[in-house]
Amino acid sequence: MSGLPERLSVPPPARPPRPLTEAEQARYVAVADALCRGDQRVPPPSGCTEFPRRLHLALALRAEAFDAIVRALAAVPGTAEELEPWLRRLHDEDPAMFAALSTVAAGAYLLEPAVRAALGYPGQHPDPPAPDEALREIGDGILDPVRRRGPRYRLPPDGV
Amino acid sequence: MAEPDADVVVVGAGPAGGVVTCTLARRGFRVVCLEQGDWVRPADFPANGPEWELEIQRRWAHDPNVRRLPSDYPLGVDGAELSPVMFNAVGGSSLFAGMEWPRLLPCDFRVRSLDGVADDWPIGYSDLAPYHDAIDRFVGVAGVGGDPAYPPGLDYPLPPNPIGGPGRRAAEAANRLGWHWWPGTNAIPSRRHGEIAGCTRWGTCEWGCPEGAKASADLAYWPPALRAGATLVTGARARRVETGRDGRATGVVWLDRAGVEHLARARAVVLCANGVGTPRLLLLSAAAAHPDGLANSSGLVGRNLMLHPNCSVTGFYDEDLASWLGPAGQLVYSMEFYDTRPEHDFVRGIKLHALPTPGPLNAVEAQRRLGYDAAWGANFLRAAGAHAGGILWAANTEDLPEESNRVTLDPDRSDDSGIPAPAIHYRISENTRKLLGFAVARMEQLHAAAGAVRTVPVELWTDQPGHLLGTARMGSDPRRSVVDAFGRAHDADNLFIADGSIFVTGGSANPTSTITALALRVGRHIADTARSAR
Ligand SMILES: Cc1cc2nc3c(=O)[nH]c(=O)nc-3n(C[C@H](O)[C@H](O)[C@H](O)COP(=O)(O)OP(=O)(O)OC[C@H]3O[C@@H](n4cnc5c(N)ncnc54)[C@H](O)[C@@H]3O)c2cc1C
Ligand code: SF4
Repeated sequence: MSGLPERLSVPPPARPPRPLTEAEQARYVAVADALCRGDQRVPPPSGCTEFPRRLHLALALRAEAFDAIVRALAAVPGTAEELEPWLRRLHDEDPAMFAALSTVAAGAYLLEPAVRAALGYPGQHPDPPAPDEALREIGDGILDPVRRRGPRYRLPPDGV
Repeated sequence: MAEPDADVVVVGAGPAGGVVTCTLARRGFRVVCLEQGDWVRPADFPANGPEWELEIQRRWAHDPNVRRLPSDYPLGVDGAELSPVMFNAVGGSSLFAGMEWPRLLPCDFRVRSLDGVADDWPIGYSDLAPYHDAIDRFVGVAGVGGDPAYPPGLDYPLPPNPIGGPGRRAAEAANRLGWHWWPGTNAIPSRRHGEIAGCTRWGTCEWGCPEGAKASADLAYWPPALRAGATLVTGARARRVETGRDGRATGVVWLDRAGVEHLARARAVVLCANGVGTPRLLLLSAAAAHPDGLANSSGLVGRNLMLHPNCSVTGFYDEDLASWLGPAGQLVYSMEFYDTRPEHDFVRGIKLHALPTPGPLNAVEAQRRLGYDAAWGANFLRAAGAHAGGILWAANTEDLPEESNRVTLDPDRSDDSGIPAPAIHYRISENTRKLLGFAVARMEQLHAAAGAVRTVPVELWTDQPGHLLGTARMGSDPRRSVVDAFGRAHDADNLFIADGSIFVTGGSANPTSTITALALRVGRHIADTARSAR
């Protein structure tokens, strides 16, 4: 039926209201560089060629915050020296705004395979345990102290 | 009356509705279940993509007021210190549940007799035990039998899931402190169990299992219910229960996706819309003969809302604990402080459970509250890298029933179908505040004993009580309760309630094992009494 949502219990495909302009994107990359510094293992966001594409995806997933984020980007200071103090001020004075701006930046950066590898994050994936893994883990006597202390439940006056 | 469309109409296709429908359909009854949501498949869940941590912030949030899917209804929470969370779909909130599967303890059913507070249940631990056993076998609960926190005889059909690095470390700390702990009991089969796959440790149980490895109701109860001939109508919003001149239920009025109204006539109606949705529907069913709502002669419909306020302490360790591995699901739990103790300045207690901490963005989000320098700038990679060495200790606290904590109809809000939304009125009591503070202190102690390098306490999760209890409580006195011990409304003998609404007190055990055991008991009782009536 036209006009009715196809899926009731699944969100529709994610889309940001519009792509960032070049100027907005440049500012966001600078913000991301300040928030998510790389190290000797991984480049900062500005050094990741796919970062703008990932930023676009992250914004799509937080589309409800898009307008506020764009407003914040418009206020980003022009020089690198001013940027960090500005972010710290935003953190203290407008925590909700800072949360949206920073989680999108961090979320996009953490999609970089090189960053994930450096953090030892394999992503959520199926990793079935060996059949005896669970029993091996608790089969070395780790439960003995609990068993030794014995029953600990309280029975009501009329029994169980 | 015209020939009914069904013997029984059930509202809500979560665990409670699934159990009732499956039980009655297998006994040969014609059952129609109305569910406002629709199906979600394992491939739909956010964890299928690397961006899952962003997906769960809004689009797949636990809180329906944040998520706002077409199946959701808004909750008026202006008068509430907590926002109840739920999921509306075939399978209900169990699609999001961690499937921690503890039973209540014997003391939970006799809080008035033992502690002089709240009320006793009209049934006890041993009344429910056989229903628990049947449900556990049906859904494939994994765990270790013989937990000394429970009376003898408690065992599970499947071997446990691994407790993993975080579970081991948490357990060693509990041993060091001399406290009770036990490997997690979860309705997450450790190997294939009928329709349900064996757990492959995706670790994202609370946002849907991509493997189909949780005993969520869509997998555990609905396939057998449909095979047994039950009818499930999705996209069906129940608007009110209709009653006849004799006050008995005659059916349920519902709206389809296009907003067209229908009446499903039935010999009996069973409400399984959860502890918020069920009282909402009863209040929506007010009529000239019952102006304050259906089954509400006691005035208790919607009252005594209990939510198990949650708190947590996440600890980060200098060790790779592979904390992205599931289940999540409780790895281990502790009942050390579950019951009242003379030395405490509060009654009742807490259930503690340890879980993994999957995802680097989630790790950053957890540490955000420690200040700018804990998570950002030069320390960002360290904060994100903490994901692998995290242990989340969390607690359910036992909030006692209070009539002022309640669900009413919201005069200002309605759902997409124009049906008035529920309003939540909920204040955390003095006793519960003490429990929360006590729980955080104990969890800090556990992390200290385990050698955490950094901890992040959260004194109250404002959006995480998915445990919706008490709003149509059971009892033998019709003046003090809404339904009897079998979920039958005192005011209408063919109207039943089979979800968390009928709890008298909540304990602090995660409630769904008890909800499903009660639902099985209600379902069998309906079948047994309908047969003998015939
Ligand atoms: C994030 C999260 C984690 C959880 N973890 C655990 C856990 O580890 N262990 C545990 O025991 N419990 C857990 N829970 C709680 C558990 O999910 C619930 O206790 C359980 O799902 C309740 O089952 P139910 O069938 O009573 O209600 P629900 O599962 O909420 O199902 C009710 C159904 O009724 C439908 N409905 C409501 N109103 C209407 C209407 N008017 N018309 C048509 N349909 C309607 C809804 O759409 C919904 O599908 C968790 C919950 C959440 C949200
Ligand atoms: S841990 Fe198991 S149950 Fe949880 S999401 Fe992964 S496979 Fe599914």
